[in-house]
Amino acid sequence: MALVGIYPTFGADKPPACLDFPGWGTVQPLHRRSERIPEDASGRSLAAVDLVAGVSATALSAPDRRALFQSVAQACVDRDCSYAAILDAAGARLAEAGTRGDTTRGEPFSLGDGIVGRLELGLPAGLAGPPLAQHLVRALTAVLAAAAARVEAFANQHRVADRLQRALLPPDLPDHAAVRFHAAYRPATDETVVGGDWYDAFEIGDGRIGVSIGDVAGHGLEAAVAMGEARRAIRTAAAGFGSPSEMLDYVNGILALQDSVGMATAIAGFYDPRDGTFRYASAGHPPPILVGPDRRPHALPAGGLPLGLGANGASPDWTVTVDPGTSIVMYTDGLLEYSRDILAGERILRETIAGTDLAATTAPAEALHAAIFSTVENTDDAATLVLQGLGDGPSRSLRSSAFPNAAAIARGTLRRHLHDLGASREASERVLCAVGEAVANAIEHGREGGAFEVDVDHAGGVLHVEVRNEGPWREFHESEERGRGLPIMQAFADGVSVTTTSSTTGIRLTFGLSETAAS
Amino acid sequence: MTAPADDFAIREMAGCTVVTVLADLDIGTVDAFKDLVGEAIAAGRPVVVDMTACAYADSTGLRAIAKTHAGGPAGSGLVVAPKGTVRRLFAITGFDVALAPFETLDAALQHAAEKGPAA
Repeated sequence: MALVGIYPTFGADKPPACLDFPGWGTVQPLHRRSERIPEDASGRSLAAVDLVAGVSATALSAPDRRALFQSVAQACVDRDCSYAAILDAAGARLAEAGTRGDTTRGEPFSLGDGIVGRLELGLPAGLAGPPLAQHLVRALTAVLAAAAARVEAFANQHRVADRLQRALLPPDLPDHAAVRFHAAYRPATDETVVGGDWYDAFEIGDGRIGVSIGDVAGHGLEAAVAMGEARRAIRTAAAGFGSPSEMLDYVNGILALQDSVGMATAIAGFYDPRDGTFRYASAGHPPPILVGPDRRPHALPAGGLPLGLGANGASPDWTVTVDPGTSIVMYTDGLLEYSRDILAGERILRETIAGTDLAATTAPAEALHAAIFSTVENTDDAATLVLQGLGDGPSRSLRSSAFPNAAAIARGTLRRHLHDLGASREASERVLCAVGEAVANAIEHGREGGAFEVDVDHAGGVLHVEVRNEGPWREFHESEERGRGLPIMQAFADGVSVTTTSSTTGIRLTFGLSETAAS
Repeated sequence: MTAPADDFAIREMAGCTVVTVLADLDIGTVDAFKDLVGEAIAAGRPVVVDMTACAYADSTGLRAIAKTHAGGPAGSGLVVAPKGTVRRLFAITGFDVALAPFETLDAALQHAAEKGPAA
């Protein structure tokens, strides 16, 4: 058992205005000072951590209160305390600082399983009478009791997290020239609801990198074991599959043979460095979010039925391009469901992603967890895996499945090109409008579940953009319903040509990037 | 996460539903736009589409605006003041004439009050 002493002091910058102390203080770790800390009642030796409570006159908001608890708890965790009891001898410490005055004795407080501490408080002479001091001491006692409970919860959380991560999550993620992986795992604050979330990324041997993230239904040790089996089943299957969807259906069959795995949601896929694409499929898992260099978050498609339902039901294969500066955030629903309001959770996640410079952060997955769980408690466990493209400038060729948000993603990539080329605002607008139409057309009229490609080529002040999709050209200019795309392309591009075969359509757009070439 | 709530703002004003388009109105957001407009029309209120804050639209978005204009109760589909790129798209597609957008939200609301059913 370790003891954490929390010593309230009142410095010159915290005048006795604090005497209408509302019940909360700020606590900062100061330094280790282990002398003078007595043994506890049963004679066990005690390690000590000094914390200084500077008491504010202003009532703290709930997040600040939470930050208070976390700072106390973190200080304890940092110092390897497995348990925290609180307080002794504050008066003596204050005497050292020459501020000894009235000393008052707080009531012992407990965590519900026995007395763990007692607060004694010294006040500067002449600044406060006994009633005020008693008021203070009661208020601080409440703070510290809550802090102690928090410390204990943190200690539990860390024990569980360590056990799970060491045993079941990959110790290392692949290190690659074109992409990097970051992951974070946060167990539920309540130990009893620790669940079966996992993440994984691994080199396959043929150059591709396998990626998976998932969530086994249920909680506790069984879910954790099942999680390990699901993760390993995907790892084992990966080398034999090109299609993530087929791989998930295969894994579904494998897991059906193992009683331990009930239902699980998952995303599994392959990053292919040869063309910079990430190809994945989903089994009932929350959709990944793609964040381009402009930091706008775009939901990617997901879908599919969870594993373990019997029938195979993985989503189609989805393909996106992982450009330099682009991040793909995959996560489990612990990142959304803390408030039992998934829509609110999605909004907070999106705002957090938009407000975090993922590409510039050394630990983006941890950063997202820290930002989201600074204001809410994680009542479920949460895993996050971030796949980031490395290198300079966007790739000149973008390949993507045809899904509605792909248009905005493609325009974001193109906007980055135009910025790199130094194109004027006016020229950029023309290019984005015309290419935006071609891409919207490819998405709307391409083959169901098909892909499209955008190639960008620039030479001598002329920009060529070619948009190709699977599926024959539809005579959309003949129909009023579809009749506005082609005129927009013609109005904004200096040249438009359409080539079509029975299986593909290509729209080639040409732009002069100098101002005088504007139409 | 297909229809983020922050892509559009919905307000009830002077008996009308004002749909303010904050996101790019393109193939990725148009379905959410159609749903919002459809709900308002089903509730029997004229819809005013405020394009003032919209930075980009593609032809699927423009078609949806035209449909809003054509459907719904009298005074529906009034469009407010596209700017910049979207204004140029209106000119290219003839929407600036066909939809006769209003320069201000107040003008659109006043028009709806005169033309539309009693709020």
